[in-house]
Amino acid sequence: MTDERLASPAIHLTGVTKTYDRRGDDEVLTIMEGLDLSFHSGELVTIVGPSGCGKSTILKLIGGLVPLSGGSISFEPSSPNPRIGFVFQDYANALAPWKTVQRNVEFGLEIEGVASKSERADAAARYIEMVGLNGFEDAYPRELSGGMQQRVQLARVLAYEPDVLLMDEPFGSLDAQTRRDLQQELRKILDSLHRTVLFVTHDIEESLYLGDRTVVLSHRPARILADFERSDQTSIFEDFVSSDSFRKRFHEVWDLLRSGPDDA
Amino acid sequence: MSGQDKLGSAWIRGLKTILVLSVIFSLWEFVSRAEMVNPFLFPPPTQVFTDTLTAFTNPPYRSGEGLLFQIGKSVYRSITGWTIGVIAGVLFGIVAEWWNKPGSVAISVLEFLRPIPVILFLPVLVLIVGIGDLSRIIVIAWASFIFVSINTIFGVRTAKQSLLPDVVRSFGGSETLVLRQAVFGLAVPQIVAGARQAVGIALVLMVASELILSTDGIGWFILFMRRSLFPAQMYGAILIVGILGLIFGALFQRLEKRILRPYIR
Amino acid sequence: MNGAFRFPGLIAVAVILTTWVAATGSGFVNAKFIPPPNEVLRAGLDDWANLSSATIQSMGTALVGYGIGFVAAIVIGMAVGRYVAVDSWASGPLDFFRAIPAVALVPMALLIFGNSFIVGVFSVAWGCFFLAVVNVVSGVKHIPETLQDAARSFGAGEVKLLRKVGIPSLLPFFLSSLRQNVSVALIIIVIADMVIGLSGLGFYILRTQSNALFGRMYAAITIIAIIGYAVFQLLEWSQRRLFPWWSDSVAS
Repeated sequence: MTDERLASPAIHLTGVTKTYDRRGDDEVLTIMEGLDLSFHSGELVTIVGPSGCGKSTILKLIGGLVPLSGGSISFEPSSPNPRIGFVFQDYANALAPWKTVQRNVEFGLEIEGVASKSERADAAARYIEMVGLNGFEDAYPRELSGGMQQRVQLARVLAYEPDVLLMDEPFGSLDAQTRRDLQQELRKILDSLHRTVLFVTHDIEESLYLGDRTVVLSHRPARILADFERSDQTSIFEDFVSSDSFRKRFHEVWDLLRSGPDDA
Repeated sequence: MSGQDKLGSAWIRGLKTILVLSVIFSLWEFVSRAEMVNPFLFPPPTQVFTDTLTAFTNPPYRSGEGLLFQIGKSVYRSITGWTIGVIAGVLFGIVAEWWNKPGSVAISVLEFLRPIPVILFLPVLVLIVGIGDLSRIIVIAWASFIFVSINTIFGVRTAKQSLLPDVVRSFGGSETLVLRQAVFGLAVPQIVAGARQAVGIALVLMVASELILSTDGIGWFILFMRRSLFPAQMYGAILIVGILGLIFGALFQRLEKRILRPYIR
Repeated sequence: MNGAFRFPGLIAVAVILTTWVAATGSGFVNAKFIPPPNEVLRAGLDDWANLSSATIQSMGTALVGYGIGFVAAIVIGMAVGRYVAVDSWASGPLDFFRAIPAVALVPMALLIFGNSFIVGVFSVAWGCFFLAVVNVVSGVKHIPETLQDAARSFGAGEVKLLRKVGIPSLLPFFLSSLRQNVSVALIIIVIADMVIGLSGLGFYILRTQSNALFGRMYAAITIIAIIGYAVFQLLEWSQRRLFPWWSDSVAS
């Protein structure tokens, strides 16, 4: 089925502005102003920046979960209802505690209401296997570890077969070991999918390792500090982070984040 | 959110509430005066207000004690009963749970007794101790006791599971010191929660106990006004009960904030 | 919890019964006022016809009021919890009217409605409504934002959100609130019975007391206690079976 799909859309942010009004005060919180950013079809882009800089907001704006204050976001080829797959950091609250793993993975398709029951079950089974959770189909989220719950979320979103994948610090709440494992598995899975993927994180290593391209954002109001392609194609984490090109990049990003934009 | 912000929204909330209530009362006034409903059964709010006011000075019954006296009686009973119940509940809860084994039985018994409406025992109590304040105070004290002791037991349980008792022991503290410093302190939030529930129940039982076999108090007043067919005063007294409830609630909230200040992180 | 405490109620009953028997047997309490358990049982069985009809009547009325109050609480509670606009206008007046205890309204209801059934239903409904609405509002506000976002990202609109996320998340809250309402409903109906003074368990208690038939009076009290306890436990058991992931502390 995946082969016959159209290519994943490109995403264009033009002059995007997001503000929050403080009730009563005249104070207006500007998350970002006039942001221009484009993502090419099938790209895996990691977005890295300090906490609270608005990187999660960008995902929510693209995903339609939060309204724009100004500017526009368009998809190319344009479509009225792009299929967006969202993966949240708070996995405990992102899954339905009353559903089994199997049902949770079917959740996205269930909401959509297009696939039949058996089609849903098949799709779920396929992706449960892909994320390595076979055998746990009838377990409940509370019986699983954090890493496993996050895999359920991943399987759920993959089963939905979205055009675009938006991942909001999915590994932020996990311990270091689980994070490394999931990062490697994710790379493998995403490499085979050829969807446009946006992955937000505050972990510099993770952003450099996972992304074909990395965008560095400043603190609020968010501005683009850097935007570069991945240095080499090694997919094994330990090898990647011990390469010289990685270390150089790491320092660059670290310095950028520390000093912030020039007009601070 | 800045302090300024919070104050602003609280004012707006209050304003909206007053607006809605004014609309409701104005509607009632209109509907009553226009005689769209039986104005005897539903006297207009203005009449309710004036008639209730006269009840303070010139009550339409023989004993001659005004509404203020009745209110005072009710308040006295409820506060006394609640206080006794809270103190007894805290003491019992701490003792019961701290000395472990009996604690588990205590909580089962208490949980069993909780859904039994204590008001059922009022007729018996009146028989034993007579129709006076004591029977009502006992009823209110008992109910408060049940709530507070159950919550205290849970609070002490949580306290026992924490590390603080061992910390006090490691510094050479005696068991009583452990109890006083560590356990009680940790159990306070839960105890306060129980006391808060008890406030609500005390108010309800205060009125309820005065509706049955009573000769004074605001509950009695409401009933009497109905029997003697003075509906305006009856409504007035009902609203006063509501206002009392709000006052009690607000006072308790103040107290709660004071007590819980060291606990707010 | 080990097996011995699986039915804590039984232990409680045992303790209470033992104390009761001991207190009456030893003459510690005046047997005239508090007869021993076997006396109460006998008296209750004697007057079973009256006792059971009074029970059925009171419980029937209470059930209807309980149901009405609860349904109203769900409808209004969900609106208040979900939409900030509704909350800002409605919660103040709701708090105001909640301060008026249902029992205080019994005389008023009696004056207005006259019919003891309606008075009972109205009072119980009022009491249960205000208690339950707080729970429902809290429940709605506690539905995890993230789960709602996830559903919305899959394209769910308001209705689907309600059906697929709202209701399943709220069911445990509903059950918990049903459970808390049981004692409230019982108190209100008993008092209403006593105040109206025509029929029902509350009136039965008053009447037997004034006729010094204490055995029967305690039998009635015991029945109310048993019903209250049984319903409470039943609801708690179902809550644990149906919603194992849920704990009451969430609702605070």
